[in-house]
Amino acid sequence: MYDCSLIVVPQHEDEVAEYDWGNFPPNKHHKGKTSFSIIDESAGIEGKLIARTAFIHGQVQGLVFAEHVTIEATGRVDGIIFCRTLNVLGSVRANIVCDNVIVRSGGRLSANLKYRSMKVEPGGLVGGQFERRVVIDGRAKPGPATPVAMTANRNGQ
Amino acid sequence: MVEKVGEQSSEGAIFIGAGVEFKGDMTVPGCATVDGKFEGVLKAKSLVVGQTGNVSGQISVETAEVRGVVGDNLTVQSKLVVRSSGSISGAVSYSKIMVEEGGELAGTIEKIAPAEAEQKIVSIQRGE
Repeated sequence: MYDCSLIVVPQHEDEVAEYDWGNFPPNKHHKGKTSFSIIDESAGIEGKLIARTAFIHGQVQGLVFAEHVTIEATGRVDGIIFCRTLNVLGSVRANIVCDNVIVRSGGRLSANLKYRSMKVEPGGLVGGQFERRVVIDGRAKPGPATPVAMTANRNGQ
Repeated sequence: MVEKVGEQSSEGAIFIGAGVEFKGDMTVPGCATVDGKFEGVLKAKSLVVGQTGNVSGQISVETAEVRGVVGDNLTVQSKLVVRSSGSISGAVSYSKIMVEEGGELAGTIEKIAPAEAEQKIVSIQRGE
């Protein structure tokens, strides 16, 4: 098991941009299994949600840190999202740093958003401050995991 | 797929070809197609920016389809379509939107009700 509290949440967008997802502890831990987490309609989280893949049908207030995040039609996120791919079918009001964002029909995204590639389907709604991150090197960084990622940080935010 | 913006209209239209640079104010009852460069105030029913097109200034239109670059202020009363080669930066207001994968949106994005859009256009015309 990995210790969730040892995962350092990036404090800055550059850290997310260079984040080594291959060494993201939940990714390493799943050992090739298909694993995901579901926050169901009746569930709510206040605090940090760290997962490999998260499907959010319920409510999250706080931080979502995962490789793949899907906010389903009934889902609602208020806070911060750091991820690689973000799918929005529900409602999001957050500071977001991600690689790919897709807003599906019915999705509402109100965000301070930094992204690499985006898609808004007809019927999707977007608003806020958007900024495209320049891709300097699209490939994953070679070499060992960044030591920063293993530093203890219990406060998270 | 989405219907093409600004086609088959009998209203007056303008086409700014690739390589053409235009600076100034323009009111177009029909469709404004820009493959060249436009800078200034543009009011039109629909705006089509081609891949080589570059539009900047105060733009207020009913519908827009963007394959090129649009800067500064863009107000779209109804539908805004950003194609995969399109890039929009600055203050954008729209009431319906679609962005194809690869399309770029940067700046302040805001959804407005169509009635609000009209007010916004009026204030742009007044120069407020």
